[in-house]
Amino acid sequence: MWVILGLLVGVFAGLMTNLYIPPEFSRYLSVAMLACLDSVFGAMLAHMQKTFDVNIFITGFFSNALIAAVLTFIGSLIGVDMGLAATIVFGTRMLNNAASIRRLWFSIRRAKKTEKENNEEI
Amino acid sequence: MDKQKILKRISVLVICAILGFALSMQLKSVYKNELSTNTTIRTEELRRMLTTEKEKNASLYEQVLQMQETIDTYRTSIEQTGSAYQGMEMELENAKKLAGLTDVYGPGITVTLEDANGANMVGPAEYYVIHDSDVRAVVNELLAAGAEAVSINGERVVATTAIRCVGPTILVNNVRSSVPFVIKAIGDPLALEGAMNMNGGIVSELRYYQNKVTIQRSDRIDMKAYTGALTFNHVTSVKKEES
Repeated sequence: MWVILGLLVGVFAGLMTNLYIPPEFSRYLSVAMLACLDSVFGAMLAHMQKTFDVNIFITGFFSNALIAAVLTFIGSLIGVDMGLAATIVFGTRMLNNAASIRRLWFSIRRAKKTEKENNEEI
Repeated sequence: MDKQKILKRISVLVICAILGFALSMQLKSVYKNELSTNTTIRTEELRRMLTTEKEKNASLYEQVLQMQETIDTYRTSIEQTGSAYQGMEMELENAKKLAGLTDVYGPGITVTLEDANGANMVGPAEYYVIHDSDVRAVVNELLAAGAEAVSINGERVVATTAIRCVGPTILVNNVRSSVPFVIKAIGDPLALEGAMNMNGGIVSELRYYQNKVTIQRSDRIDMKAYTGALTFNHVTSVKKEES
C-alpha cells in the first residue's frame, strides 16, 4: 500500500511540474529508471521472503540507477550501446523477480489455506 | 508501532515517490520529443542530409553569383555604350568555345592509341587493332570526366562530329586518320587521367588485348578550332514568340 501511495504521489508531482528532461539525458534517465524498477521488484520479493532490509533497498535503488546511467554514458563515449546491456540485465531480473513473486504468493496462500483447514479440524 | 518500522515505511514511500516522479518525467519527455529507440541512427541520417543540402546550397549560391556577374556585364555595357552589344559578345565567345569554333589551350591529357604488334597474339586479328568504337569509347569517357574540349589527331570533336570506320582507317569530321590515334582533352588532368585508368574501363580493356595505350598529363595543350563546314540545311531555331 505504501508502495502504491508513493508511486501515486510521485507521478502526480511529475505531471504537475513543468520540467522536461532534455533529449540528450533521456537515454540515461530511462536506463536509471529501469534499475530503480528492478530494485523495487527485488524489494517486493524480499518483503515476501521476509528478508527485506531498508538499507540494502535504499543503497541498491540509488547505486544501481547511478551505475547504470554512468555505464551508459561511458558506453556512448566509446561507441558501445551499454544501455542495451542494462536493459537486458534489468529486464531479465525484473521478469525473474516477477515470476518468483507469483510463485511465492501462491505458496503462501496454499500454506495459509492448509493452516486454516487444520485449525478447523481441531 | 515502533520507530524502526515507521522509518522503514517512510523511506519506502519516499523512494517510490522518487520513482514515480522519474517515471512520469520520462513519460512526458518521451511524448514531447517523440523519441524512438533508433534516435542515434536518425540523427546521423539527418546530419548527412544536412551536409548534402549545405553543399547543394553552396553550389547554387555560386551559380547565383555567376548569373549576377553576367547581368552586371550586360548592365555596364548598356550604360557605357547604350546597347547590350558587349555582353552579348562575351556570351558569343563562350558559345564559340563550347562549339569548338576557336583555338583553345589549357591543362589536360594526351591519350595515344596504337595497334598491338606483340608476338603472342592469339585469335582473330581484329582483337589487336584499334577500332572506331575504341576511339569513341575513349572520347566518351573523357567527356564524361569533364573534358571541355577534345580532339582526335588534330580534328576537333564538336556537336556534329562522327567517328566511323573506313577500312583500316577512321573518319573524324570526314577527315581520314589512322593509327596512332592521338586524343587530346582539355580539362582537370587528374580527373581525366583517373577516368582513363578506371578499373575495367576502356583503357584496361585495350591493354588486355596488348594495344599500346599511353596517357600523358600536361599543363598546356593547344587545340585548333573546328575547320569543317557549318551549314544548317534542315535545322531552324524556334523563336520565343513561335513556341
